[in-house]
Amino acid sequence: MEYYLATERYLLSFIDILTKLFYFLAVTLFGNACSQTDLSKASSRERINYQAERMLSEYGNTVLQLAYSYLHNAADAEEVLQDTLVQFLRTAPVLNTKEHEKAWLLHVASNLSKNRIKYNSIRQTDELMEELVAENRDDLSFVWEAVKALPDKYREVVHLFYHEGYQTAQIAQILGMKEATVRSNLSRGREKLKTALKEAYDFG
Amino acid sequence: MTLDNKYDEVMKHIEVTPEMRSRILSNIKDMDFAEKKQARIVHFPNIKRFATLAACFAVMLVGALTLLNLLNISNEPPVVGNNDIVEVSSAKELSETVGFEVAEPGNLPFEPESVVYTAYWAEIAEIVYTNGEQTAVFRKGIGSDNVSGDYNFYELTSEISVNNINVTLKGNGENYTLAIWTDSEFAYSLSLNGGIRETDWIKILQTMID
Repeated sequence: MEYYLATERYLLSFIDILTKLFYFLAVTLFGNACSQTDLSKASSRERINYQAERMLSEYGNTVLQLAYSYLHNAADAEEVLQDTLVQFLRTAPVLNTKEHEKAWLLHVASNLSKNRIKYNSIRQTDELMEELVAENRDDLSFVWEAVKALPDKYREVVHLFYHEGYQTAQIAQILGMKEATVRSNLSRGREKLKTALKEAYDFG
Repeated sequence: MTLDNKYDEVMKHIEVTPEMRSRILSNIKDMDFAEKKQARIVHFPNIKRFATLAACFAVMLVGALTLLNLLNISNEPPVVGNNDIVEVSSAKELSETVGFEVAEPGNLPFEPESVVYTAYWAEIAEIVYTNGEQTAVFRKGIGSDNVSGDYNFYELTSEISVNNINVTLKGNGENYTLAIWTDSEFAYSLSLNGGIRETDWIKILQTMID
């Protein structure tokens, strides 16, 4: 049986508790004139909205792009982005640095995307492809076609390695797998791309 | 241009548009984020709590009873079967107590006023007849050893045979006060403090020895 120490949760909202305690004492001692309950609720809501805006500004594109690499569809990717933010706001994890924050979001987004592939129907429209074709960027649509065709397990590491610039160790943490697995998937993904792109492009 | 550069350029086409942003923020604003930040305290379910308490009491009870038993054993002597000296009120009850048939002696030289039936440790049956000064003590016990309890030195002894059983008579002077015999299974003794002659003994013994 797992026991979750009460303190684990209390540490997270320590200031919250102090605030509530203060207001409780104030109300007890001085009556309803001091009641701040409504205000504190309002401020909590404001904080949530502020967080949502901040996360969207800082990490919105990153999360959306990862989700799109799995789902190949704008509407699905948008839903995953929203769900990721909601999970962040609900769970309120303790994340000390921006890197930590980003890694957490990508981890959640990756899981949500894979769940969606597994359990939900995927829309077929690939807006990205349509856009690249409309721009006459054959070189880019070619690359996207090749990456899109990769199995999920190769594509996700390719995306995180080449586009997000993560090292294999970090990718392992984000995806929740062994680093050795990441390296082998990356290597195999590269091989497949090489074949698909017929060595037309240089590999970094 | 390298693959990663190309791929980067592909991905640049994917970004959060202002419409997407306002859609997402609007949806989030409509959501309820009511404080679910409760401490994840695992509640000790009531049934488990009571079961645990019951188990504790059971253990304590067993321990207490064991202790009591141990104490009892050291204080009281063990009672194995009927191990005491028990006084009963009839020959029938005496037979039941000792576990073998006890027949009352007949033809006593006096009329008994009081009779006392005693079972000794479920081994020896004793019947004591008294009338004033006169006492007759009959004993029957398991085995063939002398059950009379009388180890006095007697000047007079005589061996007689009654119904093929050897009887030892003991006494002083002219009379015998004690008769002892065995049929190999049981040992018998009859003492008459008054003392009677051998011939009188034979009369009594004939009624008692089959």
